[in-house]
Amino acid sequence: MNSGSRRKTIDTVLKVALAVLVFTLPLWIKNPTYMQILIFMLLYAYLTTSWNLVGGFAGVLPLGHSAYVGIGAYTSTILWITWGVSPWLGMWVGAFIAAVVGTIIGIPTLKLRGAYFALSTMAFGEGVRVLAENTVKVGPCVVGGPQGICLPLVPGNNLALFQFVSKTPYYYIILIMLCIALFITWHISRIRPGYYLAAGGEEPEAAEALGVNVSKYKVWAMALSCFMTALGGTFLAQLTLYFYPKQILGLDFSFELAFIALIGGRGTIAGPVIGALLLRPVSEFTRIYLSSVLPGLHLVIFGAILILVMIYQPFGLVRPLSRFYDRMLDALSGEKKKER
Amino acid sequence: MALIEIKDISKHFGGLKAVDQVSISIEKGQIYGLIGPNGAGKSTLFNCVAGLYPPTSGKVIYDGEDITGWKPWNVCRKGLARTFQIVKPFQKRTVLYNVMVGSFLKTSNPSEARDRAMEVLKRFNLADKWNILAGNLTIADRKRLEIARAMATEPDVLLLDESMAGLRPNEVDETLDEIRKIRDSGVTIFMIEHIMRAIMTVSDRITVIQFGKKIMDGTPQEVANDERVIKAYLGESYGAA
Repeated sequence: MNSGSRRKTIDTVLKVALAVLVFTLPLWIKNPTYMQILIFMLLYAYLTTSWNLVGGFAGVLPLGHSAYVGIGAYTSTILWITWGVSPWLGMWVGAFIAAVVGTIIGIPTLKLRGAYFALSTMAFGEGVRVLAENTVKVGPCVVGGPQGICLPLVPGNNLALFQFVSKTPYYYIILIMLCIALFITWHISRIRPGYYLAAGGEEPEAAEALGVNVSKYKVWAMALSCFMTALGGTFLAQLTLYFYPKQILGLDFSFELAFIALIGGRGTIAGPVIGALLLRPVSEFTRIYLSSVLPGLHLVIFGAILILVMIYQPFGLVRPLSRFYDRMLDALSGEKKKER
Repeated sequence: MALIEIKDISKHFGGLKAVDQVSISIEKGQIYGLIGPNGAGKSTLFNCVAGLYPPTSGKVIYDGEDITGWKPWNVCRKGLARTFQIVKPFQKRTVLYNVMVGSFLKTSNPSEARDRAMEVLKRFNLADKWNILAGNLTIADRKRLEIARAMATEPDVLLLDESMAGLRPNEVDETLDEIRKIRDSGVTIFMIEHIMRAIMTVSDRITVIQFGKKIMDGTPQEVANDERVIKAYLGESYGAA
């Protein structure tokens, strides 16, 4: 069919164009503020993609993922400041610790259903924050208590130490991290563990009767999710070069990840990206223009958007958007056919 | 030796003896029926065999191995697949996806799992509906999907919990045919059923339980003519309870 192949060509062209645009964006945008907003957009898309592994595919609602962001940030930073370990290495240590902690937390809590799991993860997240706020020093390691940690500056663009004056390297690093995370979720959704996770998330008893050890797969997803989240935590620390418990371990951080996933489309691959694309600007601009009037207003706006999305598009914005994209392709390929 | 040996199984919920010292032995290749009035403990007994919860006492021996108290997924991997009385499809997923979760038991290769699942769907006349969300199926198709999904795990024993409840008479006949075909393919069937006509025509042997206790077992003919069974279903004991 000619229109079918034409449709495919247009689809490919559009996707390649999008990829080229995304990968060349730093060439067009020179303003560091806008770059920073873009980088945060990608970082949130990355973190939510990681969250989505357990929050979307495994069908539970973790509300304490900031704890793992924090574990990543604190681990790599403390290792660097105390022992001079490059954050590039430290990030893996942090990710490993986060995965272990996630497993330990996941084994008892993932057996809980619905709100109970959400509440227990929230309690854990808050627990980690309070712990960090009350710890100034552990042995030789400076944790900094409520003031957090300021990373010592390194002159120039230093790839080995993960610090750059220019925003462009950060952009590419997080873009690649996001691409890998998206690839991982895409791959998992197509193989047995992905099927088992989704099945266990939807009807645990039925899945177990079909030979699925549901808890095992959920814990496994939790560990991977925490691992990836912590890598994002190190990135955040290197980007902002300063972090403190209330910011990096706060509940509103955890909530924002959940909001992004729910609005974009929980359990879908593109959902977190679409959610971040939509919500990050809202978050940034309310912070820039309205934070002096009403701090935390962005969460109120998120809530309002969430209510609207849940009423009109309970599966998130991925569905209407992909339908729109399909129709656009139809229209484009259809028009071409008429011309011929 | 019997393929499944249920020995003096009891299940107590607090003071309630939901199942009390029931023994059943099922031969390979049989269709074995379990009947009893509402609340007799049929599903509880089933759940003890399938591992949903461990029995209070007693043993389940399958193929010479003690599987008492095994977890459901291990019971399934051992070769006993079950369906649920209240069907539990993965509603937000397609029919094919549902069956693939089953067929993934025997292969980790997605395309192979897909092929096997399609084959099962063909067997159960669901092939043309492979792309429909399970939540949008009719009751009859959901019940069929429930069986198809269990069969996709390629079991040796199929435990059917009221697979015909709520179906129209012609749908019951279709399901009976399917059950016979499954048996003919070498699968032993252990089923609970409320529809007397259905279970009487298809079973090789039947156990009747009431108030958690076994009343009798025998061929459908023997069961139908047994005074105790008639009493349990129709009278006397109704007033006495």
